[in-house]
Amino acid sequence: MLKTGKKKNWRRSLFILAFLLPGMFLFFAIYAYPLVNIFGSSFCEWNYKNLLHPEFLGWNHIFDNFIRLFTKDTHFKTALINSLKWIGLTAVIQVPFSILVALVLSKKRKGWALTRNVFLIPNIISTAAIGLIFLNLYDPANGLITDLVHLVNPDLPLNILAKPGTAFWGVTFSYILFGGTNCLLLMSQISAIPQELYEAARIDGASDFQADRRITLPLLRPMIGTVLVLACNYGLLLYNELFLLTKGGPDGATYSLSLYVYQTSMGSTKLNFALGNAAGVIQVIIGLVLVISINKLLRTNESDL
Amino acid sequence: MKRMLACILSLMLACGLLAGCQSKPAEESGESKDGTKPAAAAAEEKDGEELPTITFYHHYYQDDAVDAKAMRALFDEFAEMHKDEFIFKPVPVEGDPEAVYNKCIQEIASGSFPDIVETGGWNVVPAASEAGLIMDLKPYIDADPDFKAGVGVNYDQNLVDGKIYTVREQLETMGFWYNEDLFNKAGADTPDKWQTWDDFVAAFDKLKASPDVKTPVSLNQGWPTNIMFMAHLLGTQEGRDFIDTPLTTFDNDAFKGTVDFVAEHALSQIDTAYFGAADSESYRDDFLNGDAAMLFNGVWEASSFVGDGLKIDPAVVKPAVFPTNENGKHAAIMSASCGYVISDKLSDAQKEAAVAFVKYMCSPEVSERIFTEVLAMPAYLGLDYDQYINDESADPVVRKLAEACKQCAQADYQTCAMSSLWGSDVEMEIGGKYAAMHDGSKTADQIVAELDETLN
Repeated sequence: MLKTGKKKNWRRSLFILAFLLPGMFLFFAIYAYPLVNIFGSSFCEWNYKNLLHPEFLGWNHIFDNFIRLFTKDTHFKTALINSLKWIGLTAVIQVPFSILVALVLSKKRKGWALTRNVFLIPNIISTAAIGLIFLNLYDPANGLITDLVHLVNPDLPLNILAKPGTAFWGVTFSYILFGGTNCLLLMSQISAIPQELYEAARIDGASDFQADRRITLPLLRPMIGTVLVLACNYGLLLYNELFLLTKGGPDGATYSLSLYVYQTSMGSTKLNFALGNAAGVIQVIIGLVLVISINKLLRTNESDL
Repeated sequence: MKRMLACILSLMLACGLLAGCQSKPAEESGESKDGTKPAAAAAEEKDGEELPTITFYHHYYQDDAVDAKAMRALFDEFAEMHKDEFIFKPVPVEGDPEAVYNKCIQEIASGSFPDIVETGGWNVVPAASEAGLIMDLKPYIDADPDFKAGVGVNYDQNLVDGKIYTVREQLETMGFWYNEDLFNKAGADTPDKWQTWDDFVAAFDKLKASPDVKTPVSLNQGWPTNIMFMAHLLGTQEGRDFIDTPLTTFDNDAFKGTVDFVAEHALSQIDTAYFGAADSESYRDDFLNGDAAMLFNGVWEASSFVGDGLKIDPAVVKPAVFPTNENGKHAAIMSASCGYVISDKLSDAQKEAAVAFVKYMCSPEVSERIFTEVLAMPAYLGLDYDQYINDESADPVVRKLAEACKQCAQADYQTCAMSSLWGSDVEMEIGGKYAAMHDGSKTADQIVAELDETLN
């Protein structure tokens, strides 16, 4: 009897393993191996001179690539600062804006479905296409945004992407308001909130604003955390829009970490994969810190509920 | 039953996983998109004997583009001509030349190199030669005077440590184009009368002051400004010495002089609306719309001055080369850049076939077709441009191209493009400084100091 049970358990484990294996294989092949590779090669010299054989920098110089990034490479410093700015801006502009839109749409006033779909459209278009659209909108001769900006402030340069000061905000504007996916996630969470809570609040004389503040927002916290992780990661990984709009220019003013990694490794004739991967390691660390911090914050909030 | 279900599901999972592994692309396996085999591959089977095979990757994939069609026809004709000696398989790589470059880099990283590639200016030589994967063409060129004549400026420009790893059959040749009508309206001397850069400045000022001219020139933070920058640097002996010296620092009086000149007499003189971002093509549109009096671009632009939608009269568009600081002498940019690169891992028979192909592409006959069909300036400098200029029945585009090519070929001083001379990294860094040169926010010394930082 015991033997049959063990056999059954073994078969069950095998059955589960059969399903897990492909996923595990793909995880190790696509994520884990490159991650180890990136970490390992960041302590090497690996560029066009030795593409075939990366060379370990030696224990005395093990952090040379990282030291170079922080002391000599002005583009990396700009990229790091920009990426942190985009993380912050996404957190303080895109996420609150998505929450606001989700709250308004959840009231299901006339035309809410159309508004939701329109708000979602930029998120189902590829970011490359969005980049091209904004490239036209910023066109100095015929661009709609250029004309509008010039109407409001004639002193601003006509070519938004050609000046370091305005190019950063031009790039930021090309993605910051597109929180359709965030909005959808938040709306699904709002619809899961029991209606009894709102009915009780209404009986107690609460207005819509008070109901949102006292019921919806507190119950939305876990989803806001998820949305925050997704949105901040988008800010950290910003690439397509930059590649199409500015390629990091003018004068390196719109470099992001992702673009820096690409330019240093593949976009440069020096093919400095080691330096690019060192920047990649820093990007991974920032991403991990971001996710862990937000999750920690989220767990605290959950216990408060 | 459960056991059977488990087996079926596991089998399906395995099949699904394997189905995800894509088979070799049709082009690489020698089949065309419709599944039929090309003539060369069919010949291989028909003869039944082992012929050397070389696969050639290029970027001329566009179905409709005139130049791509003409280039593919040349490749196919070569394959057909030699079908009894070797199998030559041209494989178009979809995407711009960067896609071919990326393919090469991937292969280099795994210790191999494609049989032969055409990288369209993307310089794969430093990485491939350091890995010892590509062959030196110099012995073949030295041994054959016709080949040497065919490669033209490649012989000097692509000579690295006594070796020539790449040859390109068409050159990036650049002077500029001007709208004669706008010059006349502004009362400015046309470029054919310019003796020195001072004449350029005088004409520029008149063009700027003229109500008939919206802008003397339209620029961006890259290509067209780079052309003017290099041309100005070429205008003095100190500048030419700087160009000829391996780059270790930008702290050079001629370089600083060029930074100041381009900033003071071009960039700061044009409105922001005519100063685009690095990739912006609006500088071309501004000229074609009749807004700009000059267009700093290559000879290939000749093909743009035709068509119904053109807002300027093609008859008023003329080619020119840049002045220098020496009275009556002119400067142009003629860049061989990176083109055909051959793997060193091929057998002797394959190498012979690959070299025969490069030689064919640089031959006078093919050069003439590159000029008339691809509408580019061939590397072969023996072409008689006068025969096209004087032939009134010739295609107007070809005549205009011939005029531009002749002027550049006869210019007193020539150098290669900024990206070929110093690499695309340096080109990008210099391009990044144009914004500061446009608004005057940085001095030449500051710019030089910042550029020097990037060299370390």
